[in-house]
Amino acid sequence: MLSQQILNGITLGATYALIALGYTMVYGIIQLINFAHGEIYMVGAFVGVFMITVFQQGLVVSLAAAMLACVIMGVTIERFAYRPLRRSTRLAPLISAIGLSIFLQTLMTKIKGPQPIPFPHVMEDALYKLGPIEISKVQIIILVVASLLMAGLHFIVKYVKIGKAMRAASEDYDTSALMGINVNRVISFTFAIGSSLAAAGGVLVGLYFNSVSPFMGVTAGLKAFCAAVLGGIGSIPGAMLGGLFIGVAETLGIAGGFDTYKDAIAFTLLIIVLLFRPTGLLGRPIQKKV
Amino acid sequence: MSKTILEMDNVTIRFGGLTAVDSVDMKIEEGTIRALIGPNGAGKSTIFNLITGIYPPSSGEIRFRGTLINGYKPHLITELGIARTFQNIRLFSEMTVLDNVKIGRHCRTKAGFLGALLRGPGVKAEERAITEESMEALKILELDHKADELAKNLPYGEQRRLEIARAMASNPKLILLDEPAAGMNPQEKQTLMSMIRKIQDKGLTIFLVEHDMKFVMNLSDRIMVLDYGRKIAAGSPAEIKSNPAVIAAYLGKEVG
Amino acid sequence: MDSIFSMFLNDYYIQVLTMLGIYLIAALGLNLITGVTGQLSFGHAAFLSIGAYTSAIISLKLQLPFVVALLAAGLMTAIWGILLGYPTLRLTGDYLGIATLGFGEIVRVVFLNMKITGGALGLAGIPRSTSLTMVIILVFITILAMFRLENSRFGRSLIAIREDEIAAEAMGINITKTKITAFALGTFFAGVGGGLYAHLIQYLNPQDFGFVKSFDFLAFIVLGGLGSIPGAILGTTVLTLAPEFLRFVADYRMMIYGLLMVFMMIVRPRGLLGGVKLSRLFAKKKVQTTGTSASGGAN
Repeated sequence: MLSQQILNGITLGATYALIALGYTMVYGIIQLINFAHGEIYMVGAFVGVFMITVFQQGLVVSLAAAMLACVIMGVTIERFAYRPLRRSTRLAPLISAIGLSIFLQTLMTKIKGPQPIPFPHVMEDALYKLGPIEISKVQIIILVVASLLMAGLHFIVKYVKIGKAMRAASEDYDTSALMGINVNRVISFTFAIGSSLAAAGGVLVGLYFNSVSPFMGVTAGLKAFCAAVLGGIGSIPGAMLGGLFIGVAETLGIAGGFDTYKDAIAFTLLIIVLLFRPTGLLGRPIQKKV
Repeated sequence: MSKTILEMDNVTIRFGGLTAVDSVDMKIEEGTIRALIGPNGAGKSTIFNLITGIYPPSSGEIRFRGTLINGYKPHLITELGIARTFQNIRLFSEMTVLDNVKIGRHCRTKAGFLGALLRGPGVKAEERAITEESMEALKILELDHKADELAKNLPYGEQRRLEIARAMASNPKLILLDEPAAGMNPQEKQTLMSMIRKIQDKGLTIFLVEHDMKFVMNLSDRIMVLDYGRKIAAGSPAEIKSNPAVIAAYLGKEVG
Repeated sequence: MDSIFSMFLNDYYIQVLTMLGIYLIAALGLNLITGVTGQLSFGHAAFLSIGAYTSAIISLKLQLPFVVALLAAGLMTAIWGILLGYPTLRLTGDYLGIATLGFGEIVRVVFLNMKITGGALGLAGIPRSTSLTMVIILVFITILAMFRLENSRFGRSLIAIREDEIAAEAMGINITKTKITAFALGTFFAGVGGGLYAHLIQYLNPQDFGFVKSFDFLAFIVLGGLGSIPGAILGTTVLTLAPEFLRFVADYRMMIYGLLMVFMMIVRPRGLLGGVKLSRLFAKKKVQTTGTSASGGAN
């Protein structure tokens, strides 16, 4: 029973982790809490539904299309809503992000209505038994896709030139600019990657819970953000760890009878972790400089 | 004149594997000007940060007028009578010059938020006194004519002086100046030197870190030399000039 | 005086203006915390809800006078401000913001699960004791209080903490105590605002105090100009009334509202009245021209 809950938690956590990665990468480079990220995830889910219902595409093509659409959206948002504010107070882009978030939510409500819509049926439900654990086909898909995407991200960040530039920029923004890194391109790329992962998360969550709504980005975004901070914001493994941690904690909390407190679990964990490790589980400690 | 105001006894601080300050002993006499010199990264600013409570020492004792101040919070140390300036100017840049200095008066005054809301006669009188005393501190550093400007709009040299005025406003017994002459031209340095003398004449003890050797040699009564966190020499300017260990540390760099 | 208002304004506009006044009181409280002291708070709506529920429960269960309920709302909220502030105010910048955001969500979920608050059904039947006249008077008291706080020994120490925490501490300011006091004062006004809200709307539901509302308050003061009293007033007024003026675009109202926030921020990154101080307006002194550099606010 416990192992079943943990598996369910890991599945949920994997989707949180996909969203959390976008928060953490963007924060790592420009120290912006991109509160519109949850909305990108939501739009990603809707694009997925749209591809399946209107264009009759399969899951793989729809997933790819959702990711592509969100790449364009993420890069555009950064270019027009954040870049002009890069050298102003830290709160200015944050407010811009909140404005965008309101815009995207209401836009989607206008198009699709405020009610959740079901995710189209793309495959037959199947359950597999692994000893005492049951795993559904959807869960397998989620875990496989999330693992592939995260492995891909790891490869890019570790071995590809632009990924290395990303790491350099998050280490020291100004110095990397002086070293000839085109920081604007790196930031665009970061938004592109983060947005595509969020879109994938959106489609997978839609598939998992069989529901998509214009407001799905609010709570999921917030929890994913929690996961990013809990793991240590700016740290990519931290976001993965934080996502899984929160997913499992939430699932176990619900199973333990705290279902009405579900939305508070992530935050309670977060505050406790922050009080003992002010920069998260895998975050680097802040050195007091005088 | 021989009363000790500040005493460091075998003070050490380690950051991870790095020993930034290593078993340093020191005594400063009241009313004197003491300089601390040494190559970059020798641990000079760290000593200031230890004295002002920003870092607690890993071991050793720091005494100010006989009181053991290890582990005291910075604001309590200021209250006891140690004030400082910073190597990389730390002014309250969106505040006026006068308000910056008024912050220096903070630990000598007491009106709280209730006083602010009610503005009774006592609070008003205190505020008037704060303004007067702050203007006095500004006069010593010749900044009184700039009282209403924003701190960030002052030229560099004046910002350094404003930091000293702010520190003075807290009525310190001992004032720590971290590279007060950095970035100043020779004339500005000359003025600064006479200002520091004026501060000494008021009965204050001065402890300063400075790279300009001429400045240091002309001004200080005694000098301590630090290298890799260790004290390598201490003595009068003349003694320091001829000390072989000091010359070696500066490696050919002319001292004096 | 309320009767005079009702001669000129219909009930709807009186309601809107009363609400604006309540938001002003709460936003000025947040401005003290975030704008003046530089401590990021993403949980302001939660403090409003604490005040709202406290006053509503006092009115409903104890039948005490409204003034007592309001005062208790403010005090109860300030106590929670201190309880939250004590452990979290040592966190810096964004981390403090995140902790307050988390606190806000926890408060919401707790209220949803409590019996005395009516849980998810909400709390209804609160007497309508809030009037426009009363709110206007309280707004003026709040502005006066904020003005006096800012221009005092205490206020200077708040601004010093915002500008440079290390230097402030080195100048003899007890950082922890001062921050907590600022937090308590700021949340006190949120609590009073919450109490007024409860007795205007007459119905409370935890969902009305989510983090989205907290961000609304943050947007009010950032768009107005952080740390500026006139800025907080203007920002709150513009953003509270904007949806009313945008009624002609009907369904597109909130979309335009969102874009408006983005647009205003890009046009004036320091806020509409960034750097404008009430004391300087009165003193008729030349306001310093400020550069484009990042300054002021919770950096």
